Order: sequence, then structure tokens, then C-alpha cells
Amino acid sequence: MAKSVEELRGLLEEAGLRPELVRALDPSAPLLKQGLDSVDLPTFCALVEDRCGVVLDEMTAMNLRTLDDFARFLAERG
Amino acid sequence: MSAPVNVAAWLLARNLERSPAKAAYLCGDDILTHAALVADAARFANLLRARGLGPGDRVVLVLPDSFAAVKAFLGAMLLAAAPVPVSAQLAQADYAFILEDCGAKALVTWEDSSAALAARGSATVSCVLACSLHGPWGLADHPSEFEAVPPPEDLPGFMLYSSGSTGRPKGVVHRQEDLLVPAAGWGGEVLGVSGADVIFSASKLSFAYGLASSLGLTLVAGATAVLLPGKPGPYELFATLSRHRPTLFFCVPTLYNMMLRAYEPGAADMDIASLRLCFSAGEALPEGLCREWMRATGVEILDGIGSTEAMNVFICNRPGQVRCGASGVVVPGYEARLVDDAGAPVPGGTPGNLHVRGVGIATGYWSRPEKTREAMLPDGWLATGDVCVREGGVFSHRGRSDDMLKVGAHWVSPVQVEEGVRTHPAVLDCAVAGGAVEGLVRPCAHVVLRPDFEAGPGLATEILRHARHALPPQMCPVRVLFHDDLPKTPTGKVQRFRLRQLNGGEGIAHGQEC
Repeated sequence: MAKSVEELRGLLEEAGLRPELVRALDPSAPLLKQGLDSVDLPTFCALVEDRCGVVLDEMTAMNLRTLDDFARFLAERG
Repeated sequence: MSAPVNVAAWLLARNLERSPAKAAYLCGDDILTHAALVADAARFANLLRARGLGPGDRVVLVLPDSFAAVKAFLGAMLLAAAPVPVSAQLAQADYAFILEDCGAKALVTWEDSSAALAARGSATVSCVLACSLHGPWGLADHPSEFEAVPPPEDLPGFMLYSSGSTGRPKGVVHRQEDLLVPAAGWGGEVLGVSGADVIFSASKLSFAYGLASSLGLTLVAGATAVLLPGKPGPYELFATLSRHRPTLFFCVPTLYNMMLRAYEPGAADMDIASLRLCFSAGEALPEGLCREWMRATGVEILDGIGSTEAMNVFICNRPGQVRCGASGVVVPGYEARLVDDAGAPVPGGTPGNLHVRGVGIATGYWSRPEKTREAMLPDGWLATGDVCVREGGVFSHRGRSDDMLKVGAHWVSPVQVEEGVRTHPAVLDCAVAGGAVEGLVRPCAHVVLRPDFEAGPGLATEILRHARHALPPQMCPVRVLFHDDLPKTPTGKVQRFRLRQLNGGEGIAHGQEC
């Protein structure tokens, strides 16, 4: 299920991230470089899996570095 | 290798003789030579003795990976006291428990740490030493020579704390000479560690994996180790690899996963060309992660299984023969067997409980005779709690025989996570089981709400945020699933194995689908 970058920001907030951190995220820059940690990222991935009906195995997840990557991946999955 | 009288003295003397001016440790801009380490470890032993410490006394070390941590560990050993390195990331209550549990007489930590606060209420701690990254204040005032004390056989050589299934950590008691064992089969025969190696472990000295690599392998081989005092995030790890150019990198799957996401080949601060081997332990390395690491970096990654009780890796892959997705073959010096719950051997290809036997296995758990009997079997076998299959001599990890989770290479007891989640006012009951996210195990919280609360995304977010405040990172659930009730046995025990089947499957995950 396709998701815009703005909708993904909503999921990041739902994953428990602080709204000010989420608003400041550059969608084209790596999430790990912008303050997400070893709990934030898997929580966000779990939420994307549950809401969008996709499975992010380790091979898929490794290539999802930025919010743009997530949006592109979900758009490709239709 | 014959057992030396005092292991710290033997290691220090050996390196002083062969390469006194060589760097033993690197940390940021600083270098600690073997000669300086010898002198400061002796000063530390003199300082501890001056403060009333003696053989067998437990000296708890709550320090970042630093020169101070290495000097304190070896200094305590010279005195035949028992160093107890403990993670620098725990809460005050955890330190209070450990200090009391081991009957600590001394605590070495930084000023105003949570551990120092915990020590104020301790009935046993008579000496608290405040340290910088280089050592305690006033260390230089003590003599740089010390006649090492032979370690009495019936007293602990050193101890490490490992989480238990009830959430209370257990002290794992080792003899001094157990520190040397990793350098034999694993370090020597498998990894070929030599004095030319520069070792970097992302796992801290308070964990058996970090202690074995940064201290055991390094000092036996006369190599150099890099210490990173701070939190090992992916960018910090790449920066350390680029700067200090290690040849061997010891890390854990969660961090390899994050590093791959951060890796930009050719970037100046991501130069890993110095590495000849990477090692992974702490939790099973997913097959895809193993393949992708080798494809992206061109460096072999060897997965292995070890434990705090063994103070070593006992099964691992071999250089040049990596099988991604498998844990590997038995390390020289160990025997391994797979048995069913009644203790009978299982046929090849069938999952069984992993038992290992070899030199260096812990003598027991501190003041836990029952737990000791369950794990350390009378004929020398260690019941690891891991479930594996063996095919043609190659072992593959299949999970745990108990409910314990390995998250980011830390032991996580579901009981502790449940306690944290239950402190949220909406939560009536909670059970935690592991689920796979990005191919790695993470805690998932199965929650029954109090009558006045309604399941939904907003409440799931609130519970996630609450857990982030109440629990250390590795214990934080990454998923909240709401249920009307939890699956339980007729006696009321939660059936976590049934919850594991639900994680990411059925159930209301984070509220409804969009």
C-alpha cells in the first residue's frame, strides 16, 4: 500500500518518536544519521509491516535507509 | 598452555618482555603501552590493598571501555581479588542488586554514576573509587611494582553478571585462568590472532564476548586493542574502524545490520580496508545479513555461539568456509552434543538442547546452587539453553529452550519487559514474546487493557513511549498487540510459545490496518 512521505512521518510519530524530531527529518537523508536509534527503526519497520501488509525481511530492510526509500518501496509494492 | 600462578601477572610480564613500547590499547587520541599498563595495573593493586582489599574480595567495575577499565581489571587480579565488570548502562536499582548479590567490597566507577549512588546504600561496599578514562584519582601516587598474589583455588577469579529468566541477573564465577582459554582454540586455531593484529570489539568489556576479545585474545597474543568508551552506533563504529584501522572486528548482528544501512563504500570516514575478518556473536546472524555484509564490504563474517558461562565461543564458522545461516562447527577444545528433554541424544537434523564441554567453563553461579546444578552438569557438560540442529557436523541455531530472548546481543527476560509495560495505567495484563523484525528477534508486547480503555493506535503509541522511559533499549517492545485475554495453561502460566506464533501475524497490531 503506497504511502506518502507525510503519511510515513505520521507512522514515525505513532512509533513513539518525538514530533519535533519527525518534522525535522530530511526525507532524502539516512534515518540513522538523523537521530533514530536501534529501537526507533525496528519499531517503525514493525508498524510499516502491520499497516501496509508487507514483510520487511533483513534483505529488504537493509536497503531502506531514508524516508524516500520507504515511500518508493511501498509505491512499487502497489 | 600450563596454568600460570597469577594470570594477570603472567600476561603483563609476557608483554613487558616481548614488546614494552608497543601499544596495548588505543582509545581516541591516547595510547597505552604494555609498559605503562604493567605499571598502572601494579599501582591499582597497591591502591586496592591500601584501601583494605584482599584475595577473593569482589571489586565491581562500572566503567566505559577505557584504559581505566583494563587497569582496574588486571590490578584487581594481581591482588587475587575478583573483578566484576558490569555494564555502564544499568539503572541504579540494578547496581544496588548486583552490589548486594556479590557482596561487593569495592566499586570502581565515575563520579556521581548511578552505581556510585547505589553504593551509598550498600552494607558491604567500603571503598568507592572515582575514575576518569585513565584511572582513579591519585593512582600515580602508588608504587608501580607489586608482587602478585597467587589466586586461592576456592575463591572466584573474576565474575560476570548474566540475566536470568526471572529477570534477576546471576553472577557467573570464573577462575583466573579461564581468561586465557579464548586465545587457544578460538583465537589461535580459528582466527589466527597474532601480535600483528589490531582488535576492535563493539561488545563492551563487561560482556564475556568483549572481555574475551579485547582483553583475553589481545593480551595473550600481544596484539593491540581499540577501546570505544561511548555508545557504539553505526557511524561511531565506522569512524573508529577508519581511524584505528583494526584487522579484526568483533560485533553483533543488530549493529552489523545498522552499519550496512549506513555504509557508503568509498566514504573517507568509512574506510574498512584494514579488516581481515569480522566476527559475529551474541545472537544468531541472519543468513541474509551475513551474505549482504560480505557482498557490500568484501570482508568475511564468521558467525559463532558462545556464552558467559563458557567465557568463550564454542561453535563457529571457519575463515574461507563460511556458511551463512549456520553457526558453524565445534571450536577446538570443546565437545558438543544435542539432547532431548530427557537427556537422550537426538538424531542428526533434529532440534535438540545444546550441551558443551571443555576447559574454562564457569565453576557455577554465585550463591545460586540450584541454578548451578541445572546448567553445570556433574560430568562437565554445560547446558547452554540453546536449541540447535546438527547436519554433517555443522550446527544451526534454532532458538532457546526457555523464554529468554537475545536482543541486540543482550539477554532479555520477558518477565522484566512485562513488569515495565504493566506500569502503564491502561495495562491490566501483559505477556512478552520474541518476534522477527528485519530478520532479528525483538520483544513484542501482548497487552490486555483495563475495562475503561479502548485498543487503538494512539494507545499503542502511548504504551511504546511509556516503555522507552521505563526500560533499557534492548527491552523496549517494538510492537504492541491488544488481546481480550492471554493464552494460559490451566495453572495460569502464560504460554509464550503461542504468542510467538501471533507476532506479526493475527491479532490487532498497533490498532487497525490502514
